[in-house]
Amino acid sequence: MIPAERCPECGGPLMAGSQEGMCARCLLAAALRNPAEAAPAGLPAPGEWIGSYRIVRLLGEGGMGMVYLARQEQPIARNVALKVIKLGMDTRAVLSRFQSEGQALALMDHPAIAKVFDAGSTPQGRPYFVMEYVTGVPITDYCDQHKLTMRQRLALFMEVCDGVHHAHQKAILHRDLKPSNILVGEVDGKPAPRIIDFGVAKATADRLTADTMFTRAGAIVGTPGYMSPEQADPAGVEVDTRTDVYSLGVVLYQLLVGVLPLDFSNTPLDQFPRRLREEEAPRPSAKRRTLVEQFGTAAPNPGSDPRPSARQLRGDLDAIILKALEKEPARRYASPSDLAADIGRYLRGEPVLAHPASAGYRARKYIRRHRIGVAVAAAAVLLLLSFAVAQTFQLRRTMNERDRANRERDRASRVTAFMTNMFKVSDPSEARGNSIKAREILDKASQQIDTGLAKDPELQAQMMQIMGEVYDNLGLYSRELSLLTRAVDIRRRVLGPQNPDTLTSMNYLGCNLAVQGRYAEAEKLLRETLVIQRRILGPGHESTLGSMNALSIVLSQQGRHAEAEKLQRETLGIRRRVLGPEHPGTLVSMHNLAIVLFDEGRYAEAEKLDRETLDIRRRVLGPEHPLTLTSMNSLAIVLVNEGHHAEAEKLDRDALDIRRRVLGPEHPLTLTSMSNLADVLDNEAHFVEAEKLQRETRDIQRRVLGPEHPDTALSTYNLACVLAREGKRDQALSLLREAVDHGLAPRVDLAIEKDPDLKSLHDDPRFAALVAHGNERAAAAQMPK
Amino acid sequence: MATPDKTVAGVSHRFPTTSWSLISAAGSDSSGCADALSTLCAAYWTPVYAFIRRKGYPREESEDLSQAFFARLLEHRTLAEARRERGKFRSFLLASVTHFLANEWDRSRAQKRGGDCTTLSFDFDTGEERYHREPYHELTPEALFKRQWAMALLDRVLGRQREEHVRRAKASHFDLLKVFLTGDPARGQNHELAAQLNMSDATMRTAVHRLRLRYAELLREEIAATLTDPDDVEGEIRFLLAALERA
Repeated sequence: MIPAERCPECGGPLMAGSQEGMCARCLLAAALRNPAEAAPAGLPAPGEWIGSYRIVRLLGEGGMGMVYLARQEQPIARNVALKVIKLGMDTRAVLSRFQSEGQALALMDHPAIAKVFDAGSTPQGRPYFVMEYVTGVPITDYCDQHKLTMRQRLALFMEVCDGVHHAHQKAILHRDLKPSNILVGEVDGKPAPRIIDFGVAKATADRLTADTMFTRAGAIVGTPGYMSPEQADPAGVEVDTRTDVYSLGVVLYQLLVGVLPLDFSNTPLDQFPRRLREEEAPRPSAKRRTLVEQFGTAAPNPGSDPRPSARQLRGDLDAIILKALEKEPARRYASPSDLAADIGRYLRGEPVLAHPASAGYRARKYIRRHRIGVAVAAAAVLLLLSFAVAQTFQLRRTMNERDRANRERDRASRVTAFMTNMFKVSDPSEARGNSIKAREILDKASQQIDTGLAKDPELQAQMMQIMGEVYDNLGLYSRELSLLTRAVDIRRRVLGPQNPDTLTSMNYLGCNLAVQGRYAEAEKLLRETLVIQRRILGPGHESTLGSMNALSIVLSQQGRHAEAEKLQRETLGIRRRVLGPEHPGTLVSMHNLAIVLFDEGRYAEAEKLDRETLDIRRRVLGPEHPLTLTSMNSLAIVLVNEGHHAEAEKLDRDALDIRRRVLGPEHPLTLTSMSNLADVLDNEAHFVEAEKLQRETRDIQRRVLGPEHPDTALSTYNLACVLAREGKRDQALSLLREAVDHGLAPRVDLAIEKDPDLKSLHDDPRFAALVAHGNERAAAAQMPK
Repeated sequence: MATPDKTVAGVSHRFPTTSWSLISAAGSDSSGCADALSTLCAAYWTPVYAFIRRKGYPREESEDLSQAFFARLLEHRTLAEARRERGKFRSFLLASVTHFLANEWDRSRAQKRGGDCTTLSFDFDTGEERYHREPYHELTPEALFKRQWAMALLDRVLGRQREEHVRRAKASHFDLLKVFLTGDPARGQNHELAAQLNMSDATMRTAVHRLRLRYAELLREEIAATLTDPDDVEGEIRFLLAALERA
């Protein structure tokens, strides 16, 4: 065990490796400060004490003074940021103003606001503030570095507005909002904004006069670009919450357009207030177009630019931004929460208040939104669940022969892994290969809906819009459970528990829970949603039907087949009648009903239904559509169970060929097909080919998913089974061991003993040891962490 | 599996004569570009190794894959890809190795070494040691890559600065004064150090000042060499600092 050493300067652990034995963080930070500047007199040097804080190093320089990283030891040991205010400001006045605000500052408790702990004066008589040490980068940098999309930027910005609003409610204005005061770090992998320097601006300058704004040399202090017109007015109008709104507007402009609205770099001092008061910022969409024309792709950073296009900005976003930037405070949003609310409306497709309302505008907005609201519930559920169910099938498929009672094992993590793999739209620096394929799949699906529904353009348009929403949703799915929960809470509260949007959110949440295997919760929520839907939207409404569909699957997964069958038949009946016998929604119900029947052991009926579904899908969606392939898979499973191996084999081969070609040789679904085909071949005792296929699957999974991934472990296990049936004991046993030791799910561990495929190993002494080992691992894995 | 030759700490101190910005701007001199790319790769292989290792591959396989990855990277085709790349070398490298792991499914190619591809000699022991000292169970491979990148960068800079001192026969100066790069040691120590170096306090202060200046210069140069836009240097420093902060 290597002892952890600590850096004497910043107290952090010393990094592994060299750096000549020095602290990597301190080395990098050292480069940030300009060594050419000798430390000005009267400012603390590293190692000195100020109050009960020991200075570690200079962090940077702000408009008001220098900021240091300092260490506090009593009453708690922690790093803090210590800001020393520069010369020229009256210490007593500053401190007394700070003290009067001190109470309010201490009461602020918001995740987006960095706390101010303390204040005092240095031995040289300069005032200082002690604040929470926030690591992170300015919001503009963060968004650019992480290539956040427009929606992501807006969401992050709304959190900032929330924080500022919180402070306003405690009667604290910021007065100096700008990107370097809005730092973004990461908490649990999600961006978390922290606003620093609250209240400091007020304490240091009651009124920004020419003296405090400008240095003696005549340069403008701070960043004038973010200053509101009333702040720059020498006549000194009282500032209020709308001042902060203006600054937020500038930041928003910068986040979406890429540059500041007004450029004052060449403005002489005396011109500044006038220019600020009179000059209009260019319309964001227009500015964006100009920039794009000027710089080719996007400005000012070359490389892929995730900022919105001029077209996206035109209209609502233009209006919102310009309203925040109005010269007259009275014409702006009254508070940051109003600004955030309008952005929220924009994101939901509702009419924004920033526009002067026109009847046509409102009407257009509501129609568009309503359609999505209606259709998304149904279709998202369709898509989500049909994929989920397909995967469930694969699960059952590979284990079916072994032990039906163990079906429940790690369904959640498998489905999650599958979904994550398939629809990961995450870190842009990640494998472009994988995320491109995910999009290509959905692209293809959209395309085929195009051709398949050519007769019904309205429906076609709807489904296409839905696909758009689904991209988003699927991407968020695996991690955003808490977000969905919050959405439901907020919608319940704000829109009311019976609002269609609320119901949509509840639906999503229910589906999310279901796909993660949290069936009890999902059932409760879906039942709740259904009650309201039946009453408000009606029992034949597609949204209601979507929930019924979801609920039936949840019931089936819990083993309550009779209930599930009844519900799904009901759903199917209505859909057939309302949507038509060949509508994708109807087909999903057929597919799902077949699964329920299969679960009940009614293979003949399941087979009939699966065939019917497959035929229609082949015809309507095309022979290579993902859903067609799912049906092929589904039918093959049933056939295997009926003993019709030859036909099942043919179906699996066909599906595999198509998937290999369309999705690529390493896509999770391709691997699933390979595994399934191997299974069939194994059943037919075509061991040589089964073994080869299973090995191939395993090799690819080891490379793509990693040697510890549960899927890899499962393939290893399956390969071991094939080898056991071939009588290759030693190999089988060693592979079993490997699987158990590297990620095999607990339930499978427990299944080893009873697995009929491993019968030939029973008399081998090593087998008993392996079973014991597997049981141990399973028990350990199920201990609470 | 044969262990590759060990070089001195596997870190090349030769400064690339062309930088990433020139590689990525299409040029006709492909051999010069190949050299530059090769130097950049030699400097930044540890993050790649750590990334592969963290993905779950055992040590030997990680070594193989690292070798194979760099060999591939230095082939013609990838150089052409690199030319079209408009971001940072750091991002390009991470994306490339991720892509490599996901798509390089023909294992036999990983075995091919030598021939007319440029091979790089890595000191895998150092890489493995560094890997083990990281709190790896908390970090994703990508986060680990970024941290190791920052550290490799600093090593290069310090290595270069040290070499400059060595060339002027002043290695001891660097060894004794380098502590000043991160802060000021206690007053008593200053005296001691000055005495050891046979300097007055004032002379030492000047030397420290120059050391810090040169360090900052070298660091910025080194970072700029991995960017296409030299204005990004400050941002990159802050980014790397943030990557290291999350321990």
